[in-house]
Amino acid sequence: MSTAEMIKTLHPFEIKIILLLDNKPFSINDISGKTGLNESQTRSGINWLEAKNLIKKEKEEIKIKYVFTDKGHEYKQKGLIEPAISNHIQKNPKANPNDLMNNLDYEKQDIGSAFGYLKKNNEIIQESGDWKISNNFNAAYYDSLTSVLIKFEEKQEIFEDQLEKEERETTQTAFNIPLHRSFFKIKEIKTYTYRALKEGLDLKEVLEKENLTGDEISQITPEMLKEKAWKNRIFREYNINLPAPHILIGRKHPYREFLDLLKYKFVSLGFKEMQGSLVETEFWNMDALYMPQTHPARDIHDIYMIEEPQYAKSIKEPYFSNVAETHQTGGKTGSKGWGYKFDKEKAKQLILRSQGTVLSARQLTEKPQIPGKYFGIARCFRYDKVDATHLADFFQVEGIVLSKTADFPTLLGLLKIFAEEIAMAKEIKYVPGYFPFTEPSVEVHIKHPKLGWFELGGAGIFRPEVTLPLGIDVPVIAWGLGIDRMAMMVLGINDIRNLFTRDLDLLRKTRMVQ
Amino acid sequence: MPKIEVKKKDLNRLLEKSFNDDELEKHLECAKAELDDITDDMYKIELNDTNRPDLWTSAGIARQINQYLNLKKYSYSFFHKKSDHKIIVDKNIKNIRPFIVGFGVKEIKIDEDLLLELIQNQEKFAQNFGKKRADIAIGIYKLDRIKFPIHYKAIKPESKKFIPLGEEKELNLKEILIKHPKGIEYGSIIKDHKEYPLIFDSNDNVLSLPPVINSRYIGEVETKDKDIFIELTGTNLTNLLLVANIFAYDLVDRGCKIMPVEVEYPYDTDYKRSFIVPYDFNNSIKVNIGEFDNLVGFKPKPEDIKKNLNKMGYFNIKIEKEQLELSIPGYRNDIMHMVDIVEDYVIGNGYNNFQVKLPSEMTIGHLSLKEQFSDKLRDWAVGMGFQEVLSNILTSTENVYKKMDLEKKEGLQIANPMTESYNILRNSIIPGLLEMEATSAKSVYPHKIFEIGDVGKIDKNGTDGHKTSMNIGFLSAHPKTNFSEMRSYVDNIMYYAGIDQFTLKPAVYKSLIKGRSAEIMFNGQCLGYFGEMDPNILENWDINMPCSIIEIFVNDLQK
Repeated sequence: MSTAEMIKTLHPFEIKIILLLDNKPFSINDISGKTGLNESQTRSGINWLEAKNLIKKEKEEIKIKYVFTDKGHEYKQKGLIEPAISNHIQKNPKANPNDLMNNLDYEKQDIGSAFGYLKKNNEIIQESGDWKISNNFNAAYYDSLTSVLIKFEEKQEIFEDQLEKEERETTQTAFNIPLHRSFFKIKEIKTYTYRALKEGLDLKEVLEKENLTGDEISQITPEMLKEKAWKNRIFREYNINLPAPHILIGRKHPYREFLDLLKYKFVSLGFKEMQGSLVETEFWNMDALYMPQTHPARDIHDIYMIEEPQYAKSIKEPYFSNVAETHQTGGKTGSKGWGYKFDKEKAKQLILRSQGTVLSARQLTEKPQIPGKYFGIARCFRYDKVDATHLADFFQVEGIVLSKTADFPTLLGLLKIFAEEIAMAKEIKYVPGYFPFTEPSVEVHIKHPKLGWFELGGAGIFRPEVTLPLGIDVPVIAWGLGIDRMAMMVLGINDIRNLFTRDLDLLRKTRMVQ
Repeated sequence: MPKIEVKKKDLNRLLEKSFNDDELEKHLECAKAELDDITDDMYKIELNDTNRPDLWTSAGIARQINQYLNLKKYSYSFFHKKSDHKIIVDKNIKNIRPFIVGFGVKEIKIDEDLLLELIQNQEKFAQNFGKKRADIAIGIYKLDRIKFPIHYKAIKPESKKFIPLGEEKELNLKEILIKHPKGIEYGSIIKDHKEYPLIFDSNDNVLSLPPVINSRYIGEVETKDKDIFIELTGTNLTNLLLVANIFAYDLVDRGCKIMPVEVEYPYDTDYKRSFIVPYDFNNSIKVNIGEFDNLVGFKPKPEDIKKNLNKMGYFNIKIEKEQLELSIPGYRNDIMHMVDIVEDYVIGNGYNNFQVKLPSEMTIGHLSLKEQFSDKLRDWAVGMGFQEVLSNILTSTENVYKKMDLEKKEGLQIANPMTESYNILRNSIIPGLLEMEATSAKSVYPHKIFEIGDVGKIDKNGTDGHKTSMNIGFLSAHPKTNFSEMRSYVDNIMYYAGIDQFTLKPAVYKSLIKGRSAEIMFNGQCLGYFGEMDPNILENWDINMPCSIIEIFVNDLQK
């Protein structure tokens, strides 16, 4: 790290400490105070500098530290008890301990302890019933102790070596007197002596040259701006590589973002959006799409039936009759039809939409524009066991193109546009496909750089058995794209259930990878 | 879509040329088939065309590929006008299982592979095409043990005994339905009738109790057998004849000889009272060549049409002036309209050999108004710091009713759910958000999530009886969430939606704390509701973090 970079990593505490460095050893106590930092700020600064190899620990020693107690505080306020006893018995030589306890404002126990000590030490003596202060009365000690208490009150904590010689002796004496011992606690503290390393001293020189003092502006405040206090001052340079706190943002669902991308693509290609109902009749979902009522995919194990209401009240004419006739005999479509008896009740059965193509079927009856292009992103429901590759409901993207000139090469061209514009595929191929409602039918396969060839979707030209009964006499290209696979690729998901994840953490983490 | 397993050895002896896996995969395209899986000695093939059962066999696939690549010219001459062998149908079968067809096959070389193939054919046709034997059931027998004519008749279940396949001793028909595994599986198709269908020969030996089980004596085909008899019973005579034909074509491709059989009915059928099986449908179709122009974008030359349709198995092709007439192979019944012929022409030509054309007409694209408004709401929600989530629309009554402490009403329930986890459409966004919260307790708080999407409800007064509408739901979960927080979001949404004059009415919802919840009212209509979640409900969801919610009815807001 260069010196310039090193400076950016320095905290103001560190700068202030570096500026005090010289060749002499020092301890926290030596420089705390000189820096304007308190002891714990100084300690932090020193620890950081040590970690950066600018200073080193030189010596470790154990020091005695006094910590002022509540009791000490109390006696600093009230004054010592011994001079008070002395005063009282000078005025009342006949006073006994009980009198003292009644007249002096100290705890009885303390009075007893102090009186006993004075008597034992012959600082007071009793002559023919009267108490007298003897020459042994240690007034100098009590005065000294009083000034020590004042000093302690200021610092709360103090190292033994910070006391003057006389204060130290007083403190040691106090420790032999039970009452006075309770004024402070003793702690043994490990302390260190440090010494500046060459790098630290070099840095000091640079700091001095650049006029950095540790008092540079860090956070700019509105007051600074208002009072123009920033003028002629230096801005502290930050370490831009420090990690920032994590914030939670509002965000669209990644899968929906992908779907948004698709829908704007379709709009840009001239497609109008279709919307529909979650619940459909078998008629629109299947009959209108020329799927015979005996088709295996119409089994009770393949579609979800609605319990209540079970049937639609009616189905719009003339479509209902036209479609029924087409299934039975081909009607006016030039087809021989499926040749079975069409069950109009079954057609009214309400089910969950099983394919997006239902939107297209309905669109044909809603005076579509010709030429016209339509698309829909529809939630569909499939009777599958939910696992890593199957969902109970999923999105399908489907649509139609109506045009007098629509034909098989146009269908291939449309799929080419989808493959290139929507799936960004470079290589595509067409394979014969099968859908009950289109003929010819195509599957379009694209080559993905990682996954290789896969099916992007299917398409075809609606059979006349679909379009004519619904009143449309131009060719209609119908198409559908399998988007789940694409979405999983784009979102880097391996389990399809994660498209609808219930795990907020996973959702917050998921992003587009492509 | 049916999937079949074919032995590599078997397919290769039917194909005129051997292919590696990649080549085979490519050639399968002309049969709308895909290689699903490959093992040492077997291909698993998926057939996409549910209307082409002729492709569900190894012989059918091989025939399609051989023709497509011009490797072999097939011709068949097994349709006959008469036969010395008969099946005689009794009139009492008409209302039970009305149709039977059958024919003999000679000089068959049955090995393990072919036996497996025949069993699989039987299975696939009866399951996929024959609705689990209800519409089609197939039996195969030792021809040399049968004395013609064969009789097909309904008899009283206790009046006849025979040893079924897989058994040691004789059982009567009723006992078979109760005791035999196949009886238990398929018995329901006939068990409600007073009499059961039976096929037996002129020695009074039983062939089978259709659609349940063959007899052991005649109906146990083994690898050493040289001549067999195939019989099909069911409800749709056309499909029975079609499947019988498919068997005949396949076995002729394998070098067998067909022994036609006449079936005699005492009642009318679509194919008169008597006909010969295999049956010559003799179907043909006429197509105006101009129609090709509309669908493929150009008018193909006659020799081009012939060449491409030959590749798809059509051989009897006549073209006069603008008129194309061709006969349809006897194994196909899926040609309903001339577009089906055009598709076969297109496949014959090869999809990737067409000059593609880009759609050239100008059209204007736009999103629906609903989607445009939903996009705005999503932007506001994200702006307010909410993470969008997506839930299943199909959910459980447990989530919709039980955990929300609601009475069952207005939800669109599924009559035939696959599991109880997916048995109702959601009618509110909120349970989905609570479900998410319940499983995300480990994620860093606060949790602010929203979802917009369709919900479904019973709509008794509406024309359809049901209604799909769009709701947006918000959930905020953190230690300090409250009514006031949600009120600020509501204020913002209403402001930007252009609704200034809304009022709040105290809400009485079981899910929300009384006095800390409100309905958003505008012009006498409720646009939504919000408030603090009742801890009783949070307890149902096992949520230990205070939650507040908003739900807004987007359709009503948009008006």
